[in-house]
Amino acid sequence: MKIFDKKDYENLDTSKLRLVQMEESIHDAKFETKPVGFFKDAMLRFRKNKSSVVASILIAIIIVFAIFGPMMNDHGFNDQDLNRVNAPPKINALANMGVDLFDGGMSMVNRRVANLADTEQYPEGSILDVYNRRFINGIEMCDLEVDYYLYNHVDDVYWFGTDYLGRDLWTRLWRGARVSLVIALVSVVVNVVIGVTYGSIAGYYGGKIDMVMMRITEVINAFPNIVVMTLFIMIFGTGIMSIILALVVRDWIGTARLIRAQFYRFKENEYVLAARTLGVPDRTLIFRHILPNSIGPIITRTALAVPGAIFSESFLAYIGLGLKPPEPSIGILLSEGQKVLLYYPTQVLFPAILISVLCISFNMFGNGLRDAFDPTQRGA
Amino acid sequence: MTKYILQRLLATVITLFVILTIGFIVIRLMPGSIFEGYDEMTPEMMAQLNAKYNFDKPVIVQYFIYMRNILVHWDWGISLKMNPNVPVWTIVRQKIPVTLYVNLYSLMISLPLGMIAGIAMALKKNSGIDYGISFLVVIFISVPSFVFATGMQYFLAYKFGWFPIIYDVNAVGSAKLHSLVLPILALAFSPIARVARYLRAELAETINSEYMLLARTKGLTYTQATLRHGIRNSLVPLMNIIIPMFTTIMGGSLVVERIFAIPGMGGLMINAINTSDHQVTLATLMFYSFISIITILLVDLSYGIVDPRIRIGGKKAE
Amino acid sequence: MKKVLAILLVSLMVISLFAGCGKKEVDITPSAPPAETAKPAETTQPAATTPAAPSEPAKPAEPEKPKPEGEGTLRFAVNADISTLNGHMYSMSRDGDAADMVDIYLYRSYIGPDYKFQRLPEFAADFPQQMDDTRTVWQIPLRQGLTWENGDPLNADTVMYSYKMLIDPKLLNTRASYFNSNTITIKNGAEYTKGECEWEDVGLKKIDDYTVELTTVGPVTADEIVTHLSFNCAMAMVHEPTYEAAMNADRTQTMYGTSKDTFMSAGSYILKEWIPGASVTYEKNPNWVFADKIWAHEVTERVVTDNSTTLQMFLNGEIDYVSLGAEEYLQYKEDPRLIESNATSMYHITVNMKNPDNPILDNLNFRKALYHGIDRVAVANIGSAIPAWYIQPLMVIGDLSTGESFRELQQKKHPEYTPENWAYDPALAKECFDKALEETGISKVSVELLYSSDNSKYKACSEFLQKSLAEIFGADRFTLEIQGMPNSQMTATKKSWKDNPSVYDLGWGGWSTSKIAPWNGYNVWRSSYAQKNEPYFQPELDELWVKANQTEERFDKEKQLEMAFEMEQIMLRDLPIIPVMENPNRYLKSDRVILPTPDNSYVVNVGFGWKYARVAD
Repeated sequence: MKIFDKKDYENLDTSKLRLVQMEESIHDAKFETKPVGFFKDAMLRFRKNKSSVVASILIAIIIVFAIFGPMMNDHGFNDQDLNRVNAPPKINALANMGVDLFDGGMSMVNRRVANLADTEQYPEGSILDVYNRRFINGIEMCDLEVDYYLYNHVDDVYWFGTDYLGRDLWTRLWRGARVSLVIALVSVVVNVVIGVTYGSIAGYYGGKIDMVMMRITEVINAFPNIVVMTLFIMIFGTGIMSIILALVVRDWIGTARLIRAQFYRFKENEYVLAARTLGVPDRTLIFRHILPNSIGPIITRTALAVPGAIFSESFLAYIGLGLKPPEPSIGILLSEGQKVLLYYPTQVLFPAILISVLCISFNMFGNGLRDAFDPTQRGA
Repeated sequence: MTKYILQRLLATVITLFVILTIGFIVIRLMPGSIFEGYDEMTPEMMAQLNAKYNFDKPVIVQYFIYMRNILVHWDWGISLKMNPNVPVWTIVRQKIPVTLYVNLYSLMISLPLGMIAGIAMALKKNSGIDYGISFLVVIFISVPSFVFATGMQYFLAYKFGWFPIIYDVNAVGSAKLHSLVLPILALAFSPIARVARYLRAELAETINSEYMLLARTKGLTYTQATLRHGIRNSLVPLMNIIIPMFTTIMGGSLVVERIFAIPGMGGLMINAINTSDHQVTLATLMFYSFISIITILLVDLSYGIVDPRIRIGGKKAE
Repeated sequence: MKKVLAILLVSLMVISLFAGCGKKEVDITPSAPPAETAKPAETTQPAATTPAAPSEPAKPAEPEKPKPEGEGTLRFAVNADISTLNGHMYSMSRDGDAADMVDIYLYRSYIGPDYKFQRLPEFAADFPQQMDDTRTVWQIPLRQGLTWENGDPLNADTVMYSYKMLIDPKLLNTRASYFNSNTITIKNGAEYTKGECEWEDVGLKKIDDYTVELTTVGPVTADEIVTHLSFNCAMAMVHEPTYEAAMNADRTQTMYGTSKDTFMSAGSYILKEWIPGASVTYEKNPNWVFADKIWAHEVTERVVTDNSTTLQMFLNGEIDYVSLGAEEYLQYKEDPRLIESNATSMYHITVNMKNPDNPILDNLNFRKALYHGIDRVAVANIGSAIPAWYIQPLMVIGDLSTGESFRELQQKKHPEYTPENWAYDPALAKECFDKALEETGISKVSVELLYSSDNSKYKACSEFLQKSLAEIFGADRFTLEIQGMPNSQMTATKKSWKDNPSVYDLGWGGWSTSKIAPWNGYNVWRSSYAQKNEPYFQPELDELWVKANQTEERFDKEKQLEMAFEMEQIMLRDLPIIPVMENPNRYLKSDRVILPTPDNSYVVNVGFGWKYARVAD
C-alpha cells in the first residue's frame, strides 16, 4: 500500500480535480415523501394488521346484508302462515350437493313405525332417514328425519327456515341486525361518553368529589339488573329510546371506574406536573394529556361492548321487555330460538353465528384500532 | 391510611342506608298488593290485615318502623307470601350458604385459570396459542353463562352421565362438590375469559416498557421478567375487575341456580319480586348491595397494596 | 404455519358439511316385535281400590309386576316449594297439594267406584245430619279411634280448636273467609273475626267428644256443607299442642307449619323431611282411615323450576312423571307414555270496557267484532290447545249424579247455543266493526293487548292476532299493539283499573272455576266481587247468581243448571271477556308407576291420583 507523504501533495495532477459547487448553493435536500399525520400513521398501521382488516371487511359485509338482506327475497318480516311453522333451513343448491344443514330435514322422535307407510301422513319422498328403532310397550317406535317442505306441502323455500309463526328467518335476521346494530352503537357511544367524563372528573380531582361520585355509582350498581330494567321499562314504556336508556343506565359505571383507575395511575406523572406548572387549565390536562393514555382500554372496552349490548337487549327480550313485537332484533331472535334450542337448533344457530361473528370482528377491529392509535408505536 | 379506611367505612354505611331507603320506596311503588291471590278475602278482612301489618300507614311512617326494627331488633320483617310468618332473616340465612359455596368455588378456580391463560397469551403474543385462546375468550365473554349451563347439563350430565343432572341436597363433602361441578364451571367461564383478556392487554403493554428491557439485558429470561416484574404492574386494572367479578358471578348465578335446582339466593330474589313479597325483596336487595359495596371497598384498598405509586384518594397535587 | 392450520380447520368444517352426500335408501318396513313383550299396549289394570275392599294386583297378562303393598318409592319433581303447611294461611296452590298428602279433613274427594269422583267422610263418621226443619242446624258425627302421627287422639276438641284458630280475630288468617262464608255461611263467623262477638256466639258447637254441631245463616243441604268443609286446605285439622307451642307472645302470629318440627301429620302420609326450597319426603301413614288405598311406602318430591331439567330427569329415569310444554308435547305426541287431562282453566282476553282513553272498548259491536274475528282453531293450534267459544271449560261437571259435564248437558238441552266454526266469522266480524265505527264516530282504532311473557305460547298467539285481526278489519283502520310483561305484573296491572281506569285495554287472563258447581264460578264477574279484573257491572248477572247460589231456588237442580246456562249466555251477550281457548295438561308418565284409574284418566277434584299409585319393578 502506498503511504502518502507531504511531498506527494506538492505536485498533484490538477486535471483529476473538479470544482464542485461554485454556482449552486447548498440546501437541505427536499423530502421525497410527504409528512404523515397522526391519523394517517394510524391508518397505515391498521392496514398492516391483517386481522383488523379482515374484521372490518366482515363488519362491512354484515352491514351490507343488514341493509339489503331483507330485500333479497319476497318474504316480508311479518308474513305469518301457520302451515309452515318452524321450518328448517333449505337452500336448494346446497341441498342438492348433500349439505345436511340446508336440506330442509326435520327430525321427529317417537314415531310409530306402523304409520310410516301411510302416504297421507308421510307424503311421497318426504322420509329422509329412519333410525333408533325400539320397542316401547310392545309398539315399535323409531326416530326419523323428514323433509319438512314435502311433509307439510310447503312450496316456497326458506333459506334460514321459519319461526314459530311461519315467518321467514332470513328476512327477520337481517332486519333485526339493523335494529340491533343501531341500538348497540347508540348505547355504546352514550356509555363511553358518560363513563369517560364521569371517570375522568372523579379520578382527576380525587378527594371528596371522588368519594361522592363513586358512592353514587355504588348506589346505582347495587340494584340488580332485572330490577332496574323492569323499573325503567315500567316508567318509560318500551320503544327504542327507552331500551337504549335501560341498557345505558348501568353500563357506564364500568367504564367510569376503569377510567378512574387509569387516572390514578397516570396523574402523578411528571409531565402532568410540568404542564400544570405551565398553567395548562384542568380541562385540557384531563382530556389532552392524561386521557390519551387510556385510549387502549377505552377502545377495547367499547369494541366488546357492542356485542355485549346486543346480549343485554336479548336478556330484556327474554323477560318480555324488549322491542314491541312484531319488530325483530337479534336479541329477540336469540331468546325465541333459545326456547326451542333442543328441538329446532337452527333457529338459534343463525343469530348466534351472526353475534359471534360480530363479536369476534369487533374484538379484532378494536384490537387493531388500539394498536393503531397507540402513541408509543408511532412511526413503527 | 387508617383515616382513609375509616372514611370509607363511614361512606359504606351511608351508602347502604341510601340504598335501603331508595329500595324501600321503589319497591313500595311497584304495582301489586300483597293480598292479591286471595280471591275470597272480604274487603273488611283486607282492611284488618293492612292495619295489622302497617300497610295502611303513609310510606314515611312505614319506613321509620322498618328502620327501627332493623337497627334495634335486627328484625327484617316476616315473609307474607313466600313462607308466611317465617322471619325474613331465617329464610335468607338458609339460602346463603349454598350460593356462597358455588360462587366462591367459581371465583377460586377462575382466577388462577384466567391468570394463567392471560400470561400465556401475552408471552406467546401473536402466535397460534394467542389466537386460539383469544377466540375462546371472546366466546366465553359474549355468551351468557346459562347457555353453557344448559349445554353442559344436557351433554355432560344427561347424555354422558358423568355428573348428576341437578344438585343433590342430601349430599355432603365430595359428593356435594360433584353435584355442583357443572354450575361452578358454567359460572367460571366468563370470569376466566375476562381476566385472561385484561391481563393479556395490560401485560402486552408493560412488556414494551423500558424496565422490562433492562431486566432482559440483565439476563432474566422473557418468562422470568414477565412473571416477576410485569405482573405487578398489570395487576392494578385487574384488581378493578377481579373483585367486582364476584358480584357478577352472584348475579349470573340467578339463572344457573334455576337450571340446576339449587335452593340459593338467586331464585329467592326473582320469586320475591314475582310474588310481591316486599320484605324478602328488600332483604335480598340489601344482601346483594352489601356484597357489592364491600367488594368495591376491597378493590380500592387493594390499589395501595399492589401499586405503591398510587396514593389512594390523593387530591390534586398542589 | 398459522395459515396451514387455519386452512386445515376450514376444510375440516367444510368436509363435515358435506358428510352424508348422496341419497340414502330408507327402510320403513316395521320389524317383528321382540319375543318377550309380544303383548299389545292395553295394560289390564287392577281395579282401583274402594274404601271397603282392597283388591289384588297382578293379573297374569301384565308385563309389570307391582311391588307388594307398603313398598316402593314414588319420585316426583315439583316446580315450586311449599310456602307453608299451615292451611290457615297458605298462599300457593302447591301448598294445597302438600296438605292433601299430610292433612286430615272432615270430608274429602276420592276416586269413586266407577272412577268418577266421590266425596266421603274422612274424619267425620257420616254425612251431616239435619237437626231441624229450618235446615240451618246440622250435626257431624266423628270417627273414633283416629290419632295424630304422635299418638294424640283426634276428637271434637280438634275440630273446635282448628276452626277457632282459623277465624281468630288476632291471628287474622288470610284464609279465614273460607270457613266464615263460602259455599255456606256460618252464623257469626265473620263477626267473630272482625272482633264483634265472642267465640260462644259462633255457629260451631261441641256436643260431645265425637259430635260437633254447625249453625248456618239460611237453609243449606248436606251436600253444600260437605263441599264447604272439603273446599281447600284451610279446612284441615291442626294439632293443638304444636300450634300453641309455635305461637308468639301476643298471639298474633304462629309458626305452625313452617318446618317439620312445627307440624304434625294425620293424613294419608306422614311428613318425614322438608328441606326448604329443595325437597320434601313423605312416608305412608299406617294409621290413616283409608290406609289400604295407599300402596307406596314413600314419596319424594324435589323442587325443580326449570322445565327442560325436569324433562331430562324424567328421561333419565330419576322421576316418575313430567309435565309437557307445548313444544315438548309435539315431540312426544305419539309416545305411549303420554297422559292428558282436560284444562282446569279457560284462557280468555279481558276487556277494560270503561277505559276513558279508549272509548271504542265500551262499544258492544266492537267487542262482538273481536269475538267473531278471532280464529280460535288457528290460535289454539299454536300452543296445541283446544279452541273455546264458551265460558265454562270442558272439565266442569253439570250433574253430579250422572257425572255429565256442563258442556255435554248444554249440547243436549240447548244445542242452539253452540255457534258454528267456534264463533269465527270474519265477514260478521267486519260488519260489527264497521257498525262500531259508525256508532262511535271513531275512524281509527288502536288498542293494546297485554300478554304474559312467562310462557312463550302467549306471545305467539298475540302476534298472530295482531296480524290476523288487522287483515280482517283493515290495517288502515285497526292496529293491535302487544306488550309482554311477567305474569305477576300483568295481573297486578289489570287489577289496578280501580285506581287507574286507563291502565290497560286488553289483557290475556286465565280463569279457574269450581269444577262441580258451574253456577258458582261466575262469582268473579259479579259487581260485588272484591278482586275484579275488569269494570263489568251487570245487575242481571248479579241477581241470577244470588238466586242460583243463595236462595231456595237452588235446591231445584234442574233450575240451578238452567240458571247457569243463562248466566253463560248473559256473559256471551255482553262480552266483558272474549273466550279463546283451553289449555289441556299433558304429562309423560313412567312405566314404573301404575295409576289407580284404568285408562290413566283424570278424576275431577282429585287429579290423576298420584299418591294412590302403585310402583312396579
